[in-house]
Amino acid sequence: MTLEKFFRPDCVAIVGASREEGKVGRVVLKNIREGFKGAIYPINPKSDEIDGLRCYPDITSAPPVDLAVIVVPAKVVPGVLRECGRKGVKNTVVISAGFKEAGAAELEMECVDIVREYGMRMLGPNSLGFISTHSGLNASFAAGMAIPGDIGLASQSGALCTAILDWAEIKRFGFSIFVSLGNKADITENDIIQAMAEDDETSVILLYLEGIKNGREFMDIAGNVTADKKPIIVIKAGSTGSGARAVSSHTGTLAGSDVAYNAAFRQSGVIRAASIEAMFDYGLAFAYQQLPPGDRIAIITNAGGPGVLAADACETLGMTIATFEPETIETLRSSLPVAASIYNPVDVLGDAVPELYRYAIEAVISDDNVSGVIVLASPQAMTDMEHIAEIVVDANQKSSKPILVSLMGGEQALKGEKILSAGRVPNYPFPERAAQTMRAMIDYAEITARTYTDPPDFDVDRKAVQEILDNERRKGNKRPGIECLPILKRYGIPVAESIVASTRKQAVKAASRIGYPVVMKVVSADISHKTDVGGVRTDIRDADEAGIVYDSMMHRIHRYMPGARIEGVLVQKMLEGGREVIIGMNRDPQFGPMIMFGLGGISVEVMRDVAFRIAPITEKDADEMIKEIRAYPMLLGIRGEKPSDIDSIKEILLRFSKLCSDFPEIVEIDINPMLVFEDGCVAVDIRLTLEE
Amino acid sequence: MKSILIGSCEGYSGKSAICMGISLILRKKGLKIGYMKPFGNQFHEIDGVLVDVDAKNIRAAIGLDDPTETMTPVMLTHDFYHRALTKGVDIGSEIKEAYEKLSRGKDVMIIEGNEDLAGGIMYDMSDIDIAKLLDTRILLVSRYHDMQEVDNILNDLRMIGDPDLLVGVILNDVLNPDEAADLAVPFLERHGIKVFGIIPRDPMLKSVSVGEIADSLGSEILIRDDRRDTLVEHFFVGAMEANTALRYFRRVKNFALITGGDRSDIQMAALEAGAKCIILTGNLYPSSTILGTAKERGVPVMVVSSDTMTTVEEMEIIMGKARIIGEEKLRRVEELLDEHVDMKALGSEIGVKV
Repeated sequence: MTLEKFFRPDCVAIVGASREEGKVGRVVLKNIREGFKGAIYPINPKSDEIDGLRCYPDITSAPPVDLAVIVVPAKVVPGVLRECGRKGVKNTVVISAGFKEAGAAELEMECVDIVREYGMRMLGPNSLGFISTHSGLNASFAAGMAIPGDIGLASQSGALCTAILDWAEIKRFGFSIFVSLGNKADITENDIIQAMAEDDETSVILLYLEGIKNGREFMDIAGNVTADKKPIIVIKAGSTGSGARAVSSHTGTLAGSDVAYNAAFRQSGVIRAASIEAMFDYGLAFAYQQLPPGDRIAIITNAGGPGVLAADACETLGMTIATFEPETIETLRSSLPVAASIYNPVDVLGDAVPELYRYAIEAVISDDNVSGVIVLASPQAMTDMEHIAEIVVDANQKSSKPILVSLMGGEQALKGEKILSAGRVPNYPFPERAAQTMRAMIDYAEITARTYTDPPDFDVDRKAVQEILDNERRKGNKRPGIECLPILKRYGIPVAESIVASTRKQAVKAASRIGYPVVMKVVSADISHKTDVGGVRTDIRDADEAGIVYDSMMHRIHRYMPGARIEGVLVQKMLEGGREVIIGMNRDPQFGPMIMFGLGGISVEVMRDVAFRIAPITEKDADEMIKEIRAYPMLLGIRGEKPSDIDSIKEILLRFSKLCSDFPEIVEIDINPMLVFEDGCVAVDIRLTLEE
Repeated sequence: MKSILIGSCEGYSGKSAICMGISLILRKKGLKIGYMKPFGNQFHEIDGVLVDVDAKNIRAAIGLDDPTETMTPVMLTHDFYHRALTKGVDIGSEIKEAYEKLSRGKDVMIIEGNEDLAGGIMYDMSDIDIAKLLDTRILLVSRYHDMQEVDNILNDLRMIGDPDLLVGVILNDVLNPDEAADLAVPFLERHGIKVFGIIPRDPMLKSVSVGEIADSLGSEILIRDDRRDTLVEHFFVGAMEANTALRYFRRVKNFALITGGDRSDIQMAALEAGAKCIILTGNLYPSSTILGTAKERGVPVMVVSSDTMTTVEEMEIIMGKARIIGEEKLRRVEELLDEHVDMKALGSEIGVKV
């Protein structure tokens, strides 16, 4: 259900409105009255009127309302919600605290049940409320109102909301919708993203999140929104062990795996900010500026040092310092003083009159080799910050490329900043932050430019795999191993030729059939580290050896792992050469199947050189995964080695992704190792974790 | 009145569970069941009296009102062994007397043997002697982990001597049922030993309930005390990073988590992975939001004052002594017997119709 009336109601009731100073019911009523032009109905059985407004004893006796703001004690909230439901109120905000965050989970569940029963929506409980500046509505108990603007913000922390509001006022940052998510019992970040995407006044969406309720849905919604060119910038808190602990004890949810969040954000085009500062740095630039058409940056400065810092920052962040076209250089040479530096960074010199900035900006911005401009100014004797700011604003209005500014310093810079802010040009106190922001804009430009393809489909034998899995579950095997190799085969992933044998005779026969040399591996659901108990023997050369290996392996395992269920051995063709890679999946509680790719051995175990994506993945995802690992050049072949079959890895990743998406009962699966040859790949071993 | 003595080659083969299962199944057929375990070896002190735990549990499970001291007339105390080795003991008449009292008005008497067949030879009261004394026959319960167990069964038959005294055998806790059926069963039958069933390993029977854990650790259950009967098969110590922990948690069934009260991330990971119970050490209480989530998901949480290391040691002891108590386990035992044991054949050997 759309939240349009939620953020733009015509009439609002405040259940628990109060005239007593210091009560939340008082603050909320006052905040709503401040700017809201629609009808306002205070509800309180103890009063007939509050501050000249007629007061109703309950919601039933009030006229129809679009939105009910509830500020009564927690234990009576379910009753109020039910009354709202009967009355036909569709939108509610529960500001009251004392629910799941205080251990009263069942009270919260009761509220959700009522809301679902009547087809209503509920923000909170334990929410600060929300502000919708374009309808003049401050349905919160924040200390003040937000300035109207085009930034939409939703925060899982109410305290952060009030701090940001207070700070934004000095900085003159404007918001369209400002939401405190509270406990997210009904309305979640996903609903809010959807609402902000549909809201014409919002041009950029900022989120502070400690967890995501429905990760898959988040990816779908966010993916659509960012593809429609409305940027989403997220701070995801709880990325360290201590942070994760704080998230769990604060919200009673799992902070989740940071790699999964990074993969999900990347796949859905969401920009992740590392700090609140960065979130607003990016937010303003996205709201005010055009996206850069490339990564080639021009820097204009009035001092050497800041120019060097900016150039270093840009290059470190993977941007290119633009090389100007000859005409640009010529224009700069003719319009700037002789001592000025006319190559990038352009230095107009410390004693520059402001007009020199105009010449420089106009010259570089029309250069086809330039994607965006960073303008720096340090307060020197001749520097007129206000005038420079005016020139930048003027140039910005004529430009389709982004201009970011760093007027460095304190009071002098502030004078210029006001002008920039009014002219919708972001200003940063130091060059590095301008560079970092430019990087985020380039990233987002790349995201919007990409085409979204559906994951490819393959012809697979789903039924056969289901039978294998069902059979393992029936046997109570939660961690089946190599005996499940046929699962891969059914999904078109080549596996090493192998036969399961449960007697010495069968093992020898299997070995001769496969052809020597062979490998023998124990088959047991109780043994996950086969090598540790002598459960793997390689390079078996003839029938005599195969027989002896079988006997000694059985003996050894009975001795070291008494009580382990042993089904027999798996005899496999011994493969030589090839490069070992690992393909794995771990089902993330928030986002679902997270696919992993890396090179075998030290590369994964010690260097943690792995790439992650959330399944289902597209061909582009598969391609990026392979190229993302640091060891990628090894797959291309080093020191005269033949290159590995990368196309084949790609196809296997896609087939594997389908397998993981098709079978939610697979919680974890690793193909380790898979051998990659010059032509094709072969899966050699596998281990799964199945859900009960 | 019919009767059977259930004995085993070695301790912890599942005699008590099979006694219970057979009793429950026969009772359902309308038969009045009596139970006797002549020698008590699992002591539990109740109101100043030593009671055998198996006898106590089976008494409750099948609803008997015979006094436990009649059901277990002899307790194998230190003093008893002392007397047996010095002056010698004569307990035959005592056992016979108790047996007669217990079997009054019963259709079938189930007699649970010593820890193993040979137990009691020193005072002339092995299972074989008991069977002869009470004029009954022996059903052997044998654990079957690998093919060598066949030796034990044949050895027992040799010890029993008279093949007519042995009813047959039930293979229990079997790791590889197919192999047992293909190899062991035909072999034993060729040697004149009837095999009534092959019961596969069932981890549930080795589980303990949340209530038992709380009682043994001496801790109070903070929330969801209504889930005391929930069974725990494994336990984890939560000391790693939450996402790694989650992976390990998901690899096992029915686990309990032991961790510090301040490790909210691990607690959440355990709840996410479907933990059956959370045990918080060091007297550290969890945050109210964690309690809220645990409550919502129906997971009991308890706090203990000892540190994690000590709690783990205690848990190891608790988990090693799983007994058949509680509805769920009883039902499971009954199911296993129904499914894997030829009760009809066994019944006709005892002399009752099943």
